[in-house]
Amino acid sequence: MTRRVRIGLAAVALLYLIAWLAPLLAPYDPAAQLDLVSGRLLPPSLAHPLGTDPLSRDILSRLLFGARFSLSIAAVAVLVAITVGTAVGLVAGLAGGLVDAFLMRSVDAALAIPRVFLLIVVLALWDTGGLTALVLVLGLTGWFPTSRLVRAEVLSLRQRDFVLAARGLGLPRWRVAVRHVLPNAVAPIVVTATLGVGHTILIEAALSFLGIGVRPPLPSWGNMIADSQAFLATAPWLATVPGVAVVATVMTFSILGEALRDTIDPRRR
Amino acid sequence: MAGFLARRLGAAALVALGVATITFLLIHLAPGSPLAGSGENPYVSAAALEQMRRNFALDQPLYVQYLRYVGNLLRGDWGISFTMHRPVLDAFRDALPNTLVLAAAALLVDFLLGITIGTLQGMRPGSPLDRACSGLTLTLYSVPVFWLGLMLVLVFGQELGWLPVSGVVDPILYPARGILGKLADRAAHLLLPALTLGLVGAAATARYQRAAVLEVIRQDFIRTARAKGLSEGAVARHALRNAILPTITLLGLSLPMLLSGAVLVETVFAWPGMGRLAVEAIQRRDYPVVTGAATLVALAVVAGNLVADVLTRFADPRSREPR
Repeated sequence: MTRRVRIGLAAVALLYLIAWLAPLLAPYDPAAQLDLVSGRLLPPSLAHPLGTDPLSRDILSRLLFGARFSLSIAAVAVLVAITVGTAVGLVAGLAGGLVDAFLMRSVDAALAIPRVFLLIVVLALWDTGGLTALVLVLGLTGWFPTSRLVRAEVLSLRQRDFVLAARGLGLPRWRVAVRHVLPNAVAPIVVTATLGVGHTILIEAALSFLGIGVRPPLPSWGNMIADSQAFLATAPWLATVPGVAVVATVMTFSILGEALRDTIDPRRR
Repeated sequence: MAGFLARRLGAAALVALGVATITFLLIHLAPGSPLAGSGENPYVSAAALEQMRRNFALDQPLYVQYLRYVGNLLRGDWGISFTMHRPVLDAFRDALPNTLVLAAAALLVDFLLGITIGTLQGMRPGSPLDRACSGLTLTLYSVPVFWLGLMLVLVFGQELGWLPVSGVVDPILYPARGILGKLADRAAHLLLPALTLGLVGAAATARYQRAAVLEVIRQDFIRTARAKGLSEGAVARHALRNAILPTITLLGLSLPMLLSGAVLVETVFAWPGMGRLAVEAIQRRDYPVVTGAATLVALAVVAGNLVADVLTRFADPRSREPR
């Protein structure tokens, strides 16, 4: 493990720790409207380190609880995407022929639809507002690139001697796939997953900004930015703070992902 | 070339039809009805509601609606909007040019900036300039596009007051201006949205271009060029001609990203383009507009890929398949 990977891992661990400990770290209840008469849109101060929002809620508390939503939604969605993508890529790569052609052409078609557009169609129409639905939809629209990557990986592994040997020994195909091919394709999958978490946080923020991701009164970085739009002139910190949180978090995942990739494939450096 | 084009155009049409079908099914199977609003309205009688249902053919079975829709689509009839009561194509004709102008301007920013930065970085990997630019592109790459828009509004619109922050033209002053004044007004309104969309794209392009230049810079002909004492500028030209290929391919691939971003940027800057039209249509359950927008977007993306492929074949004879 290089130093960059260690730093990246530590930073990601710290982010999840902060999110996990949000109830302890947050000075106030994120939903509490503390003082609707004189406590609205307060600039940063000792009592409210990041100020208060138009409903007099404490921004630091909302930011910390927002981290919980953003980080957990992205992690679970990426887990779904990686699982489905790996399964499809494995099947396409090993089956070959018509199955492969059908799966990959479908993936091509799916990639031709801008993902945000697809997400808006599905989430705005099935107007449940539930977090489970959000996570599932994010995951199920995110697996296409992974399936291509895994398929390419499988195609190159398929011809290696150890796979041929495993086949020659008469092992069942699923066993060759799961025990011999898959473990050797894990490294690039981990890299995609890491970069994917950052990307998913960006998309979740965009959806929450449009009002169809994490919905009020639940705090999320995206809907905090949406709420701040009307107060850009009077309370600019309102828009700035959650945006900086998104940038810092996504960057952390990008740095870790790229460090991992460079470790696996030093030529890319 | 002709055979290649015909095959690709056929595949493009199939993909567009597939996208139209998927969107049609998604929107028709989703809960809620386009007439729900009218149904709750006490001034709309049951007979009128029934009449609307018949007019929109919503009383027909789904497969009949689908076959009619596709049949009309193939004849160039994209249907009539449920909420705007005008042909879908008319509404698109108003909105599409705005999105095209925004996307073209953003692509210009994206590629000019991205290729310049990426090439500078790739020519001198590990240099302070390379490191600084890497930090910059990594940051930009992690910025939510709608938030970048808001921050630019905050700085250039509100604090400095240099640029207008919403709409395509100034609604009051525009009609009174001369041709040059009108152009300047449009350009001023375009600058911030295009910059927002272009900057985020430029980060990705620069990272891609850097990797492509790095790949080329290690090859023998570059060593030769340097060894015979060519200036760095001339060496960069050698490298760029070869490193530009993968980035051309990126042009096609970046279209879906660009259109996704356009939806958000149009929302932030109140830009009356396809993105806003589509989002509003989804919220109002305007079936023909949503399905039409999805089909159009798919066509645009497929066309973008096709253009990128043709450009690549034009620029690099090696990528043409042997005959």
